[in-house]
Amino acid sequence: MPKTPVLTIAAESAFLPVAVSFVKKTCQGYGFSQKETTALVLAAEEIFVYLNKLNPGTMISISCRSKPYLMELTLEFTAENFNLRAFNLTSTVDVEYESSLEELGLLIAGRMVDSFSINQTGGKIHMSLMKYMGYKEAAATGYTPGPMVSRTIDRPDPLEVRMVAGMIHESESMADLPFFFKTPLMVADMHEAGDLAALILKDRQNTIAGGLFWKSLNRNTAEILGPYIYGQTGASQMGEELVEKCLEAIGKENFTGVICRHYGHDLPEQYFETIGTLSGKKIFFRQLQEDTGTCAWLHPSIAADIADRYERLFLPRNIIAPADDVRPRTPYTVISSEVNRAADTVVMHPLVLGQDVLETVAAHCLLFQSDGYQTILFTLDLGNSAHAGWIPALTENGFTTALLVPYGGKGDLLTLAYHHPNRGGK
Amino acid sequence: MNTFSVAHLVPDHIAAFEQYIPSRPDDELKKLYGCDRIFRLNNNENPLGPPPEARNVIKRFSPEKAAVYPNGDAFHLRSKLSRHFGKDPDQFIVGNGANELISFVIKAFCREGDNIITADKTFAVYEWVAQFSGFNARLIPLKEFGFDAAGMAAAIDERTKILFVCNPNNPTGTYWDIDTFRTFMSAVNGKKIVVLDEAYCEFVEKEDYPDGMKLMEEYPNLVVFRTFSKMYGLAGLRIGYLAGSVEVVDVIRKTCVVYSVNAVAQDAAIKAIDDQDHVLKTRRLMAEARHYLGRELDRLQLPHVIGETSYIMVKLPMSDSLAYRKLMRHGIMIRSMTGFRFPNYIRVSLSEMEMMEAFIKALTEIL
Repeated sequence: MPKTPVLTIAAESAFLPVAVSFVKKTCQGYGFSQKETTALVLAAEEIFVYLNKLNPGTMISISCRSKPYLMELTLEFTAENFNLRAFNLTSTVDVEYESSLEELGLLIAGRMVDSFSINQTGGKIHMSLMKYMGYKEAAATGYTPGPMVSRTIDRPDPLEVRMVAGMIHESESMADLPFFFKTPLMVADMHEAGDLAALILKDRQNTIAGGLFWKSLNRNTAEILGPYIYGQTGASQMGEELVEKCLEAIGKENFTGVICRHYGHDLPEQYFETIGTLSGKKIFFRQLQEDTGTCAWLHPSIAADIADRYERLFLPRNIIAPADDVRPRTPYTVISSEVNRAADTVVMHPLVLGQDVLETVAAHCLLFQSDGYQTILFTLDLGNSAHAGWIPALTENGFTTALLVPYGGKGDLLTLAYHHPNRGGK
Repeated sequence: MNTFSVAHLVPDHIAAFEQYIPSRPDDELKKLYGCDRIFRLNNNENPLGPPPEARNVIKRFSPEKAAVYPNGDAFHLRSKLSRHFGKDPDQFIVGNGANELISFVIKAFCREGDNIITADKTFAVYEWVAQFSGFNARLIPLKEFGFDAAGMAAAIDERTKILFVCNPNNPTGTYWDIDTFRTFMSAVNGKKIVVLDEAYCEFVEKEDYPDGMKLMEEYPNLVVFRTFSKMYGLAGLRIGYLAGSVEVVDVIRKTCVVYSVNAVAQDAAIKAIDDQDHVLKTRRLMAEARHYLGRELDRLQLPHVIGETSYIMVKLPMSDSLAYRKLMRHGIMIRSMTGFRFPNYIRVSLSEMEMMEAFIKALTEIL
């Protein structure tokens, strides 16, 4: 992996071509296509221009990091009054007002990339914009494995990863899979980048009958994808062996737990606990370490419900209610949204709690509903005291608790599901 | 105010390493899990506590002595060990528990690019210390719950410095017999340091169990670890020791932190080591608990591994971390084994019958 190139420059109009050229040349140097390069260049340009208008001359660091399947553009700067609101998917501009037009650039930048994350500490902003490599649809192989003789579980080579990913792609519904399974080559690239680990079932004749993948979701939680086994009798035993080997591998890593949202018929449920249901599918989880307890910041409106879940899951927690007289200081709310069109699902994450939280959440729900999304979710980190302030706006907008992932964030990660008032729930 | 970012100062092998988070104190756990007492069956502590004479030393320890540094290299304890085992005092190093000794040995022999070899499912500290010191830990899979002597020997290369063998193994309780040990030492052929961790040796009664203290006279590359934490009930004072040839121990001593072993621990250990009656009493208690648990686990149809130590391993039809939480609600603290690469297994310390019966009752309820 080459060292990440970094450009630190003043946000002055005169230096805009330098910044643009840096992003363009770096993307090209990493072998990104014209389409993806243009998207990242445009995003960087719009943010640079906005920053130049807001705080002329402020220093900005731009870095580009490449992996086989994505390019990540990172921007770091210090700016007061940087309006993150434009990154809301529901943001619009009012052409009557110049200040609104200035934010158009940010809005464009947010739409240009596949995902973004923003961390704001005081006036310091760390923005990460990611664009995935474009992949062609995979041609069907029609491969069905025969019965295996003397099977083993192995770490696969790149070709074997593609083969197993192809089998999964062809056999499972994309609605039940993460988006990157749409193209087996992307799965293989993620594996090559070290962002996806895998185990496969094979025999002495190199018959490959399935496998299991896992990846990091965040610092605390890993996600198992699978097991998926095809054309075998006794597949449930094979599923158990795959999960056991996977847990042996993950068990000494840094994760506190592992979640299983995407799996086939042969998941050995005795290795997991059920922590909730999403879109009618059970979600499995297991802790990898002994639970020594933590605290959960919970608004009183849902505290009893969550306490009941903690009791059922035997989780030792101190429930703390936030002060009820704290009002958001910033006027605007910012939400990041993770969209999975194949699964008709959108997951929202809180970024900035503003005074317009009720309306902003409602606007997001309306947008996603009108776009036809069947599952609309919102996640809150119960270890983050600031997230408790979102709960009244969410419950008032029709969200109810759906899933509780122990230590899924700084503390437990709570997922709430949206129920449209006129549809009587999903 | 200047901002300080520590990230650029942290070596990659440390950044990739996660800190170990020990269990909270009992009073905190009782509050969190809502139980009024905790039976600690997680750390293989001796339920009989220290031998009587060691208890007296602890009781009589004068508060004034707390203001005085302990002897820096445990002079009297090393003298005692030399008489007890018939060796030179310079063949011993006393440390703040075996964990510190592991660190001394690795620091003494490894340099950048070197590796150590041990098993994949054993006491994790060998692997941890090697990794956070920047050395490669080669982990050889266990064979039928025991260390794979041939596999370890085959993994040796020119950059291998130390082979760690936990005998009996924690957590499986299996051990190498004398023949397996000799075959392994022949394969190593005096070219590498072999550490035989005998933390649980005093619990083993089998005739064919190799005694590292005697064997080191034949094998100058052999280093033996022992502890006062298990059989001698001094876990809270943190004291263990290593022994080897003078030539090897002199090298290890260069990396030692002096004054790391407190005065009361040194004094208590001197009194503990000779108490054979304590050893026999503990073994009787362990045998009773082992027999009882074996029978009850058979009745519950739960696969289990009973070795020659003060603990057993049980395979559960549920996640071991869930079992931990459920058992904690009953005031029973066991060790979940996913972190030892044994998913769905728990390790249970052998203890007094009251605790063993409480464990089986709670286990029956949660299954």
